[in-house]
This record gives sequence, structure tokens and C-alpha cells, in this order.
Amino acid sequence: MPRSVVSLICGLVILTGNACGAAGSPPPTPGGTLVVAIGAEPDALNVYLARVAESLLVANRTLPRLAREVVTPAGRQDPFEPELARAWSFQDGGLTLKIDLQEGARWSDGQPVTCEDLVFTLRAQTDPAVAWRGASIKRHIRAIDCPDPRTALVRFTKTYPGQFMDANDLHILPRSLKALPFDKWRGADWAKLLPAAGPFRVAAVRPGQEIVLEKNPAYWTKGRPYLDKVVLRVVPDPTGRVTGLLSGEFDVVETISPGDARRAAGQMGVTILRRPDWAYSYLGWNTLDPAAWKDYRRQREEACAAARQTPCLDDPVALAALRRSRPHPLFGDARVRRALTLAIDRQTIVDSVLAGEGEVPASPLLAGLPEHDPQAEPLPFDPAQAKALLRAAGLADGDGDGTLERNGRACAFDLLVQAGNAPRRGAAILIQQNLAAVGCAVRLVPVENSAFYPTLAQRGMDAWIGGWRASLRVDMTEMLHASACAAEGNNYGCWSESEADRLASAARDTTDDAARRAAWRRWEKIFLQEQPYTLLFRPTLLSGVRERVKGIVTQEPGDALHGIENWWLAPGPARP
Amino acid sequence: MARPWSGEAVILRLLARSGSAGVTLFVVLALAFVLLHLAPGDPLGLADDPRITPGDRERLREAWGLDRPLHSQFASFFLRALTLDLGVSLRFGRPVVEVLAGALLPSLLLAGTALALAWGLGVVFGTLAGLFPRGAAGFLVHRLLPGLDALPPFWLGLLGIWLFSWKLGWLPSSHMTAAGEDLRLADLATRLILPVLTIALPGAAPFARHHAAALARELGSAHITTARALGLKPWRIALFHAGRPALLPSFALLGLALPTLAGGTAVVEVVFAWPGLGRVQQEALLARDLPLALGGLLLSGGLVIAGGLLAEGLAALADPRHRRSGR
Repeated sequence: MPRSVVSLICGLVILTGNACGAAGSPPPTPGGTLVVAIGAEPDALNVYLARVAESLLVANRTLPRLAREVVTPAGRQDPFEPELARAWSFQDGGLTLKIDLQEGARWSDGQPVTCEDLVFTLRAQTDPAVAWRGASIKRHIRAIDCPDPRTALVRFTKTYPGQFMDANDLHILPRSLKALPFDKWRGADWAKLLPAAGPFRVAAVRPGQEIVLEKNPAYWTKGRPYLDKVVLRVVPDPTGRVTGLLSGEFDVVETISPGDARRAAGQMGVTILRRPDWAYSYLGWNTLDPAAWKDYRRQREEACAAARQTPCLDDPVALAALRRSRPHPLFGDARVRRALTLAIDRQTIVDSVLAGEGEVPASPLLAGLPEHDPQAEPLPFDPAQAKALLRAAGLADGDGDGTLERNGRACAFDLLVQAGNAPRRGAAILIQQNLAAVGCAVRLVPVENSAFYPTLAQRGMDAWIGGWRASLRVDMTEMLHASACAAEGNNYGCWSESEADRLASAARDTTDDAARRAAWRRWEKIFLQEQPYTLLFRPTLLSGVRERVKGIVTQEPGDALHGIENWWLAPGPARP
Repeated sequence: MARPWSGEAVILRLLARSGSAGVTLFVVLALAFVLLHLAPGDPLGLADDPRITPGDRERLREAWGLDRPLHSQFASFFLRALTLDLGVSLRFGRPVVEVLAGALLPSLLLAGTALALAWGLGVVFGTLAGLFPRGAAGFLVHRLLPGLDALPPFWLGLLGIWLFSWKLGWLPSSHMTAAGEDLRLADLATRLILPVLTIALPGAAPFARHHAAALARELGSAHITTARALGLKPWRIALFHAGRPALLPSFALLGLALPTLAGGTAVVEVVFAWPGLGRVQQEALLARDLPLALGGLLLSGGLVIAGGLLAEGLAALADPRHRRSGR
């Protein structure tokens, strides 16, 4: 049998949860150095100062978390795997979360991991000098009490779904950092300051080149990790990462493009691992007339100036009235949005732009979560139905120029797309072709990446291709709710539907699991009907792994090195 | 009539040039500061992070000093820069001075070696082409090297990686050190070969072309005719009497190429995962890291000035006419 076929089969076996050749295979071999190629340099070993996603690759190996968030393809009721928290339960009618910490958990400086570390971490997370961008997640946590070193009582100000998720967010820091004032944290030498309690500790940082992690002898699970060292090599060039994987210079390439994956998969000794991404790309429709928003903001700022009101917050009542009185001439109509979704061949976008490595999502809620209705299907690609729906909405080609019109307004609009995002740029070109076929002219407007979202915040666009990272905490009020239409909110298209808003608010606040699921499923139905966004694709994340790396069971979306403490290297030379 | 050569005059002239260059640097820095702030976008990348509430956004801007008026931000940046405190990099989370200092040496090593090799190869090939314009050297200087110079550096680099690292397995493809190991000189030397050749081979083309032309010009001049009449050996004439003044254009070119030491090799640094200044500055701009971008500009501006002064000094050494004051 050709080696490439063996590679493919082994890859599939790994993905289904069994190590390749598990039956009769040798036991794990401790030792060895795993070399991982990553695309960007982590910016901070202290995760609360980090902006770059790669920093989590280090923090997940070195700092403990209470539990690990996981979503398997089949879905599960409890999305947590215990880590530092051995067990947890709610008391006082849900206002107190009792956490039992692992026995024997220690920092690499010899100090035990105790409840005091959790108390200190909460202080760091919420201190303005640290300026952690997720600080608001902790707004409902009043305090953490420590009846004994191994027990923590997290006190909440109210009960709500996702309390454990909020308590679990993010890594635990050692209380020994108390000695360094928070305002001195930025720019501190964390390689020296930060002890580890995860399976690895930082051995060396070579800026611009690599971070070397070594086995942490203080790790609480005996006999783990198997690997002696993990070297995270920074390789900014994607071709360099793939070439290094093929030549055996790297054992793992954390993220690989679909095109490179196809090239690498044909080579001996390389397996491509797939994991679903939590992020998706969508085509957003502005439901509010851009001119109306401009007028409203000017009036609002004049009113604020007259009243000397700073900051100049939006007026929710005025905004709601504006949505009713001055909708977007095209996309304020749900029939038009639905028709344009039907006219876009999203599967072809996945096939051509992502080389088939992705899916067309039906809903912004993660598939596999109980809140998501597994029966929900994305709207089909049906240009004939799209044309009929546009006709029903009053759009017709009155002047015979090939473009539809309604009330003197042509179905012609600008589509904003991030200049530096190749998949979305590719999708925009296909969308332009699809919509031209039903009589709508699209002008593509590339916008520089860092200016993209600030441009959306100005609300001057007709439509845009954006992205959103879904989470285990389902809360669409941040994105598609009347309250998020304000200038600083993330509802850029200002879509609002009274029943959907009511359901989203109720589902966000209720602790009744069944009621919450039912509410979100009804919300999903309205989303599908209304199409405030046309969901384009959710990519599959790909990693390249050499076959000598064993013990990979599953891969989680946010972490290509998930479960690395159980990985081991088959004996033999690193290079093929 | 020109005054005789005076070392003091050269030093005074170089000092005067440094002063005017310092003013230019200040103006460039101020313009860059304003332009970077005027460019659309958010240095903290807050706009696309849905977890951040409007209140948190204000708090973060305040924590990074981005809420203050522009002139106040520039004044504090400039005053701190005088004490070599350039702030903390938003992208790398470390002091800017530390980030730049860490990247400077790898850049100088890579670009300096490549530039020296490019100049050396250019002068050797140029001398041969100047002496034998119709031979293989002429073909090399006027056809082959310009062809290489026309290739994009990333393509040449990837070609080298594909051939020498992957197919032949002779040379490492990236980084300054082996994975997880400290710096070793022998290892570093092998890791320099591919990136240095990627820069130096095409980079030798202009040196060779200018040196060949200058040498041909010098060989036809009156003082060379006199030297021949005096019976001096042809190799001595070619190397010293014509060769030395013919170096002037290549020195001028060297001066112009010196800014590449300060980040001009970004593409090659990315392809070979070389931790140099070019890569750092590229990342700073992409991440809207204002402290690092301005710090990088200050450093590269300083190096450009130093490069210009060095080139002028070298020219003075090579040609006595340049040593005279007032020129």
C-alpha cells in the first residue's frame, strides 16, 4: 500500500479518536523535543497583557485553568473538562460557586496552588492598570473567599447562565506576583517572573525566533508530559512553514492554508489534522439608511454639546424610531435580504475560496451546542426563487439596463471587504458575480484591515463582509439586538426585530436550561427568516503533523496543541 | 584655487552635516507621528473585539495614553526619547528599546554581510568586466546579474530554500539558531548562507556595473596614458592607478545602500524567519504599534544619517579631491 494512503488512513483514525496503530502499538516513549512552527510571535507570557492569539499557545501549556472549554463535533451537554478544579457545585441558590482545587498542584517555584491564587488573579483581571480587555466578564463576581487553601467560594451578584464560564475565564496567576505592582506589569520580564503550574514551563525566550518550553517537574499529573521540550518556532512565511514540515525541520505546523495542506498531504510522513473554527464570515446588510444615521449623529452631537454631556451616548428611543422611519432603501426589507442570500452560492465559495475546507453555517450559534437547533439548515442557493422574491418586493428592471430598481433606487451598492483577508476578498468576487445574475450590481470596496471595523462603526456602508468568533456562551445581544445598534455597539447593520430581541434578552438572563434552549432555537428561526446577515462560511482549521508525533486524540478549535501532555514522539530520526 | 587638505575641515563638515541631518530627522519623526495617528484604524485593535465594552475601550485607551491630545503625546514621546525611553511596544509587550536592540544585531549581521559581499563581488566582477568587456565577465555583469536583480527577493529566497534545504538538505532554511539551542558560530554561519546570497547576488549587480564603467573611463584617462608611457605594469595600473579612483562610484552606491542595514531586508527576513529590524518594523506597522514604529523610524533614520556620513568619509579616503574643504 502506498505510504500516502497509509498517511491518510492514519490521519482519519487520529481524528476519530484513536492513535494510529493503537492495537499492539508500543507504549508511549517519554522524552524528545517537539518542534512546532507558529505564524506569529506571542506578545506576552502573561496572558492578561496579550493581544496576539499565539500567546494562548504558551499560556495553555504553562498556566493552569480551572477547566478546559471543549466542543466535540458530536456536541455535549457539559463543555468543560476539569483541570485545576477537581469538582465544582453551586450553593446559596446559585449565588456561590464552590470549587475544589486539585490536590498536589504546585507552581514551578515550589509553592502550592491555592485559593489565594484565585483571589489574586481576580484582582489582576479587574485592575485598571492591567487593563485586561476581558475585564467586563468578571463584572458579576463580587468576591472570592477561601475557607481553606484547597477550596474557593466564588460569590456572584446575581444568577445567570454561564456563571461557571465567567469564573473559569482565563488562566490562574501565582500570588507571588503580588510583589510587582500592577502598573509595572507592562514591559516586565515575564520569562523570569512567572512560575508555571501547567505541564510545561518556559525555559528560554529568543525574541523573533522561538519560545522553548520544558517539562514542568511540578505538574500535578504524574508521568506527564511525555515530551521533554516543546519549541515554538516563529515562522512568519506560510511557505517556509510548509517547507519546514516537509523537510522534517518542524514536527507540527499549527495553522496551514487549505492549498498548502493539499500539497503537504501528498507527501510521505505528513498528516493533516482538521478542527472546526469558532469564527465565521458573513455578509452584513445595513438595515438603516446611512444618510439617516449621519443626520441622527449630527443632531445627537449638537444636543450633547448644548447640554455639555460627555460621553455623548446614543438615545435608544430615537434610534428605535429611526429604524422604523428611515430604513435602508434596499436592505431594510427582509424580503430583499432573503432573496440576496438565496442568490449567493455559498457552497461554491467554500469549495473555491477554502478549497472545500469549511462549511456553510445555518446560524451564528455554534453547531454542537444545545442552544443550536440541529434541524436548522442554511437557505439553499436558488437564483430562480431569489428573482421571484425580488419581484415580490417590488424590484424590477424598468429601464432594461439589466439592473433592478425600486422607487427610483437601483439595486446597486458598495460592498466593503478587508483588503488583507484573502478568503473574504475571494468570496466578494463570487458574490459580485452571483448578484449580477439576479440584477443587482455590486461595487467592491477594499478597506485596510485596521480601518475596517472603525469604518463600520461610522454606519455609512450598504453592506460588508465581516467576521465573528462564536463562543460557548450564547449571547447574541452583543451583536444582533437593538441595544447593540448604538455607535459603540457591534450591531453595525442595526438590525432589530422585536420578538428576536425579546427572546435574546430572556435567553441571556434565564438560568432555566430548557427555557434558554427553546428561546435560542426560536431566535434562530427568526434569524433564518430575516437574514440580517448572510452567513458565508465557517472554515476548518488545518494543522500539519509529522507521523512521528503520537498520542493526538482530538483537536479543539482554539488550541492546536490541545492535550499535548499526552503526545509523544515515536523513536527514530526527526528528519525523514 | 583649492586649499590644501585639512583633516579638521573634514571633521567640521561632517559635524555640520550631522546637525542638519538631526533637524531633518526631527521633522520626519513629527510628520510620521501625525500621519500614523491620522491613519484610520485602532492601535489597540479594540474595534473588532466584541468582549470589550465601550467603558473598557476608554479605560484601555487611557491605560496606553492614547486618550491624550496629539501634541501632548508627541511631546512626551520626544522628551522620553531623549532619555532613550521609547515606551512599551503594543505588539511585543516589551520596551521598544529592548525590541529594537534585539533586532538590530541580527539585521546588521545579515544586511552587513550581504552588503559587504555584494560590494566585494561587484568590485571583482566589475574589474574583470572593465578589463575584458567582451568576455564572460562582461556577460555576467551586463546580463546575468541584472537578471538576478530583477527577480523578487522572496522568490529567489524560496527557490534557495526549495533547492538547498528541502531537495538537497544541505542548508537550514530559517532562523539564527537550531531549534531549542543556543547560538553557535558554526551553525550561525551555515544559517547565514542562504539569506546572505539572496540579498548579495542581485545586490552585486549595480556595484559591478558602475565599477566596470568607472574603470573603463579611468583606463582611457590622461594619467593612465602617462603611467603606461612610464612603463608601469598593466596589472598595477589596472588595480591601483585606475582601480582606486574607479572605486568612487561604488563607494557612493555603498552609502546609498547602507540604509538597508536598518530594515531594508524585511522581505528576506520574513522568508528566512530572521529576527531582524525589517520584520519588526513591518509587524509594528501592520499592528499599528505606534511606539515601536516611531522607535524604528528613529533608529533607521539615525542609521541612514550615519551611513551617509560614513560614505562621505570613505570617499574622502579614496580620493584626495574630496578631502578639500568647501566641496
